[in-house]
Amino acid sequence: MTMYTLYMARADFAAWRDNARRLLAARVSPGEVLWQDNDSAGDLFASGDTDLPPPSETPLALKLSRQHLSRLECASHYWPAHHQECRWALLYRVVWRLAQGEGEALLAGDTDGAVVEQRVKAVNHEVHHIHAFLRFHQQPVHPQEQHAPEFVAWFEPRHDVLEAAARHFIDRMGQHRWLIMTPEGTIFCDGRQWHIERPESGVFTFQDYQALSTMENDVEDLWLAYYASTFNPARLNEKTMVRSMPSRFWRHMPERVLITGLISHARHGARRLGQDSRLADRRGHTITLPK
Amino acid sequence: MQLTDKLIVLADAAKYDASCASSGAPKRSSRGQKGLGATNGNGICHSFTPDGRCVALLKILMTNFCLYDCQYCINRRSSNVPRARFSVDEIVRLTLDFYRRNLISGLFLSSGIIRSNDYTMEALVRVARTLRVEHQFRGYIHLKTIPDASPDLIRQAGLYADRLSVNVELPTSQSLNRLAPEKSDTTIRLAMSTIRDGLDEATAEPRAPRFSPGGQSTQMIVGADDTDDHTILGNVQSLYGDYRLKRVYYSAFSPIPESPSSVPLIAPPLLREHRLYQADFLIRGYGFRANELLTGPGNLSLDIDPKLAWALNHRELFPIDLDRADMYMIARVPGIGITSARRIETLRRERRIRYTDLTRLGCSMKKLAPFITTQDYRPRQAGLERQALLAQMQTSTPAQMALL
Ligand code: SF4
Repeated sequence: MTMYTLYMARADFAAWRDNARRLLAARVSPGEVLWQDNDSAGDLFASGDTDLPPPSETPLALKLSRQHLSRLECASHYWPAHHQECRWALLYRVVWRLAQGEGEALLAGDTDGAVVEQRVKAVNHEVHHIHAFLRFHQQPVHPQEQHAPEFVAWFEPRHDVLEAAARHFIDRMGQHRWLIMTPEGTIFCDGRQWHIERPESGVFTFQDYQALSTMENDVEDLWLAYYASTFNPARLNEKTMVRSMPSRFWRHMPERVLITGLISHARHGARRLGQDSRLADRRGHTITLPK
Repeated sequence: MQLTDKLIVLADAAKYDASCASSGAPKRSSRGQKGLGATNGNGICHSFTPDGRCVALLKILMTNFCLYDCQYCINRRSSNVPRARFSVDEIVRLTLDFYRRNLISGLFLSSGIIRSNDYTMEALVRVARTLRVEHQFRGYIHLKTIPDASPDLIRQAGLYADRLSVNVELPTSQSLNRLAPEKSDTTIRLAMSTIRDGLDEATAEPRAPRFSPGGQSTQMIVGADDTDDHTILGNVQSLYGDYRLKRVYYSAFSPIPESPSSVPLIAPPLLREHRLYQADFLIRGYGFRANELLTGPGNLSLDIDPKLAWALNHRELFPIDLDRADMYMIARVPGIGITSARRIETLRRERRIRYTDLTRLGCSMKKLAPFITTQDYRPRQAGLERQALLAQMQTSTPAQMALL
């Protein structure tokens, strides 16, 4: 049995599809292919792909609905931990099984289908996180600088969510120019189009980001005033907060500076009432009805 | 008064309203266009405060000056709180500034009643109009409707808002009369009908003016009076039917400073609010009737969730065979949600269901175990009586006690 080795770029679903099609046509079973992610391959990279065999006399082919295809693509955006199976190998086994008529391979109740489902979920969840917890900072841009971004943000996602973020924020931000930097790449939008730039080697760092951004304060102060005031100490429930907003995101959210204070304050008495204690000591006034 | 100060006062005054979701709006985008903002139907929680609640919108009152004297409300005229009022521009500026930084997905605006109902409603509409027309803001807008405002103003509000809501406030009209003497059940319901009619027209007639595409919702305060869950759920069921409501929100009464003697001094257990949400979800999403969940007067059990309680009361219907049962019945099994029920149905078209499939589908195995059979599994507990089952299933956490 020949072993075929294929090297894959970081985010190249199209290339995987291409390879998968040729492998199916040549009836190469999942056990005969070694998929290597470039980022994990190190110097092996130099050795290059094995040539694939020609199509078999009885080639396998597979038609996938658009919905299934986008499920596979989404699962390919999952960055597995070290002990987890390579994304491309998992996906190839799934399409191999589908091509053999095992329709269940993509269903969540199946062993492979469950892994795909779990990855799709994790990716979508991370997409949701970037939509929710990313924070833009406005930059002091001189009207002459017509290309500099007006809003910048730093975010550290766990999976490849750059495109999903780009599509989302271009809808929100209208003609504003903005830039989002993540370790794996930046998105720049000029108010009409966006493009993604991946680092040539290594990753972008928070220092890279700091070098090109200026922090602003006024709106942030207003936000902090709002955050503390909309909190209801009588309903203190840290567990739900942490479950819904994992602490790995706090570092880049302005409200992080308030959280512990609000919690301990609520624990020490303020939780009897819902009112913001900054207001409790202030003079208020009742209203008399007009005659 | 400084803007920051106003914000503190008017966010504090608005936080007792729970209905601040940003979901249900139609798809809108500002891509490459003047203006700002988008909606896509899904709500986004941009932050969570330590009370575990989602921050999706800038939730504020336009003013907390109020001529009414609703006993449960911190802004009632007899309450001794600092008062403030935002100008239209201030609200607009805050909304846009927060939105651009991705802190919120839109605005939730409500108000105390000043001068007159129409005057107040008009001012709320003006904010929404300024955002939409002058600034071409395409984010989410939820306007709280003043029930006694003229129908014409409510229609105008529907032109700009994604969601309108009128709060029923209290579960029964008797309680409303007692605790909110200036409000009336009749006018609240009239306002809800005006909104429903607007929604109906917009659906029936494609060229009718836009009207609150995210529908209407309402909020009910729980625990400010002694109405039981049985009455609440019965009333809620008719509300859903009568007014095309998207959601009913339940807000556990929060004790307020200098509380009048007509309302309790302690909050109901938050778990009660949670159980009501669960029951509400079963009514909306699973086809349960209110009287199936609570057959007589009383409250939902705090120990177990309403679906499990229902199943334990209907042992004669279980266990069900997952290879044969109707999807409708599968979804009624404790521990199996609607999504899993659908997935079971799809999977069984390919092959027979095995017990371990359910783990992979993320079902709650402990809950469902006594209620189902598969080709490779039958429950040992099949014959056990309700009490024994309950004892066996009850987790080690007993009912949460009120903390004070
Ligand atoms: S009308 Fe009643 S509930 Fe509304 S702000 Fe005034 S006192 Fe509060």
